[in-house]
Amino acid sequence: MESAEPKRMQIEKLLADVDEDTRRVVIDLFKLEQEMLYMSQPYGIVEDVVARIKEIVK
Amino acid sequence: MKLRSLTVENFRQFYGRCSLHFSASDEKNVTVFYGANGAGKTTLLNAFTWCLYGEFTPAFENAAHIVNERAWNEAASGTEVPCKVIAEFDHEDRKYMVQRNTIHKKISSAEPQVVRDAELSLDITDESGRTTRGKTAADTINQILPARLSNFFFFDGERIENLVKPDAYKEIEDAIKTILGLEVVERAIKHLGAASKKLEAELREVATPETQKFIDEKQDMEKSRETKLLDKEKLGKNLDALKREQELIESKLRNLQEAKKLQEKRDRLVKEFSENQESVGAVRKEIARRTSRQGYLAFTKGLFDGVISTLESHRQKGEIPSPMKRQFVEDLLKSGECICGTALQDGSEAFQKVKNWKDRAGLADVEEAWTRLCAQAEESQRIREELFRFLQERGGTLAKLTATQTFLREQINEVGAELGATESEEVRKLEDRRHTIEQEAEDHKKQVWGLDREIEALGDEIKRKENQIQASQAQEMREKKAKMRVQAAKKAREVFEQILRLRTDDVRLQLDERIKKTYAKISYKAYVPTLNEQFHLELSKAVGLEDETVAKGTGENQILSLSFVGALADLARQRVAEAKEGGRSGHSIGFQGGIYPIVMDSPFGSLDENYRDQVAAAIPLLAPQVVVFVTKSQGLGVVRERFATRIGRESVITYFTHKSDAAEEDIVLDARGYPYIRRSQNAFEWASLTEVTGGKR
Repeated sequence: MESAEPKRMQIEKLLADVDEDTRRVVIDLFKLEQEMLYMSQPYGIVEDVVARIKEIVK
Repeated sequence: MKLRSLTVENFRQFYGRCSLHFSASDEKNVTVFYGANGAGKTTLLNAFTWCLYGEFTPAFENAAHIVNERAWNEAASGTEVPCKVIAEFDHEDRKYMVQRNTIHKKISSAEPQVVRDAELSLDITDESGRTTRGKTAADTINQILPARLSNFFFFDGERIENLVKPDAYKEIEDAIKTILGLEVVERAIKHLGAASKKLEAELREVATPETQKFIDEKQDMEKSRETKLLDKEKLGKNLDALKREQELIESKLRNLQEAKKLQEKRDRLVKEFSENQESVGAVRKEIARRTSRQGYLAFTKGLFDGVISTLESHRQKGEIPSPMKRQFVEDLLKSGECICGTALQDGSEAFQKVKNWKDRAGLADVEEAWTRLCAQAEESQRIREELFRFLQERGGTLAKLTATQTFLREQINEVGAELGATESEEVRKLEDRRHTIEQEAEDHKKQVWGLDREIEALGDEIKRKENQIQASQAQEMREKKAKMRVQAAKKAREVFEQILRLRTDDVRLQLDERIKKTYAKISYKAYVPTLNEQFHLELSKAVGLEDETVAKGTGENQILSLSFVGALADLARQRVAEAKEGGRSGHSIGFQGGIYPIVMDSPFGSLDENYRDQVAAAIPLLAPQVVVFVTKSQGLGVVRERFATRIGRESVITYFTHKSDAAEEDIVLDARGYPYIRRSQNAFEWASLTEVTGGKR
C-alpha cells in the first residue's frame, strides 16, 4: 500500500507554498466549517465566509 | 456508540410497548433476533433509522403508515394514538436516550389528524448522573454517527450486496469523505464558490466598465459549464443503468438453452477484445512516453553526421588531436631548454621555432570538449537509429493489434447477428434490446466525450477571463481590494480542492488495505478485492503473472460488501484515536470517528451453506457490537454454531398471523421451545418479543 505520510506532507507543503492571505482564509474556513458542520440552520454561512475573507484581506 | 435498548410502541406490527435489549459485552458481542418472514425484522431495523434520522431503508414498504393497525382500530373516536420509538445508547461516557414520537388523533373523518409528526427529543446523562435535554437533537446525533454513514451500520443484509454495484459508487465515495472529515472540506469548496460570486458582485459594482464586461463574460461561462457538468452527470447515470441492463440481458441469454453457446462465445470474444484494447493502450502509451523523451531526435537528421565529419576532417589534417599541448610549449620556453637539449634564448632562432609551435598547439579543454562532442554525437546517432527501429517495430505491433481488433469486432457482430436470427422469439427480442442498448451506450459515450472537451475548453476560457479581470488596470483602491478578495477566495478554493483530492485518495488506500485483510479472513477463495480510484469494489484473481477481474456471484458480493462495512467500522475506530491525538495538520478537523455497532437485517439472505458459514464466522469480528435479525431457517444450524461463543443475548419475535388456517410453529433454542408463529385471536396481525433465557447467554 502507498504510504499516507507523503500525502500529509503534500498538504502541509501546499499550505506552506500559498501566500499568507490564502493560508489564513483556508485555516479560518476550516474552523468555521467545522463549527457549522452539524448545524441544522445552514442559512447565512456564505455571508459568514464573505465576512471572514473581508476581515483577512483588508 | 453502544446500543443498550430499543423500545417500540404501536410501531407497525408491534402493538403496545415492546423493548429489545442488546448485549454490551465485548466478548459476547452478538445479539440475535429470530423472526419469521413478515414478523417485523425489517420493521425493527427501520425503528432504528426512523428514531435516529427520521428515515427508512428502501425495503421498508408503505412507510407512510407506521401506526399499528390494531391500536388504531381499538382507539375510540377523539382519542390520540401514540406511535414512538426510543433508542438508548452509551457514547463516550454519556448515556443518550433518543425518542421519536408521532401522535395521530382519531376523528370521525377517514384521515387521522396529525398531532405530532415524528418529533425528536434527546436526553443526555453525563458521568455525574445529571440529565439534560439536548437542544439540537438532530445535530448531536449527526455528530455521533453522521447520517451519511448510517446506511453502512444499519443495513438490510439482503441488499448489502448492492454496495458492489454501480449505484453505490457515489455512496461509497461519500462515506469515505465523511469518515475522514472531508465533508468540511467539501462544504468549504461549495461555500467558497458561492462567496466568490458575492465578492465578484461587489467587485463589479466598483469595477471599471472593462472589468465589468470581463466579469459578466466569466459568469456566463461558469453557468454554461455548470449546465454541462449536470448533463454529464445525467449521462453517466444513464450509462450505468444501460450497463446494468446489458449485463442482465447477457445473463438471461447465458441461461437460455438456445442462446447459451453463442452468448458464451461472445463472452470469450468480448474478453479477448478488451484484452486486445488494453494491449493497444499499453503500446500507445509506450510510444507516447518514448516520443516525449526522445522525439526531438527525429528533427536532427544530418546534424550528428555533420559534427562527426567536421571532427574527422580536423583529425585528418592533424589538427585534432594536436601533437602537443600549449602549456607544454610554454613550459619549455620558460625553462630556456628544449627537450633535445638546445638552449632556448629569447630572440634566438631556436626560441622562435619553438614559440611558433605555441600557436599550433591545442588547448586541452577545447580538445576535450571536441572529444566529448564526438562521443555524444555518435551516441545520439545510435539512440536516433534505435528510436526509429522502436517506432517501426511498435507501429507493426499496433497494426497487428488493430487488425485483430477489427477481426474480433466482426466476430462479435456475427454472434449478435446469429442471436438476432435464432428461432426463439425470446432470444431475438433480448438480442434486439441488447443491440439497442449498445448503440445507446455508444452514443452516450460520444456525448460524454464531447462534453468533456467542452467543459475543459470552458475551464480554460474561464481561467483566461480571470487573468484578464486580474490584469485589467485597477485605478481605485476599492477595486484593488475587491480583486484581492476574489483572488483569495479563488486560491483558497483551489487549496481545498487539492486537499480533498489528496485526502480522499489517502483514505481510499487505507480502506483498500483493510478490505483486503477482512476479505482474506472471510472468503476461502483466492480472490483479491480492490477499491479502485473510481470507488468501485472489484474482485480479481491471479492468472499467471496478471490479475484478472472475476465476475461476482451473490455470495462473493455479500462477502465483499461486508468486508467494506468492516473496513469502514475499523477506520472509524482509528479516527477516534487520531482525533484524540489531534493537532496534526488536516487531521483534527471535522468528524471525529467513533466506535459503532452494526445492525443487520437478514445478512444470510439466500446464501448457500458454505457462504453462510463464512459470513457467520466473519460477522462477530466486524464491529464491537453486532445485532442480527434472522429467520429460523437462516439463523439455526451452522450460523448459530458459528455464533455460539459470541452470542450475548437472543430474542424471538413471535408473529401472530390473522390467517385462520396458518400452521403454528415454535423455534427450539437450547432444548426449549419458543412461540415463533401463532394464530392471532383477533382480526389483526401483530408481533411480540420474548427473550431467550439461559443457554448461550
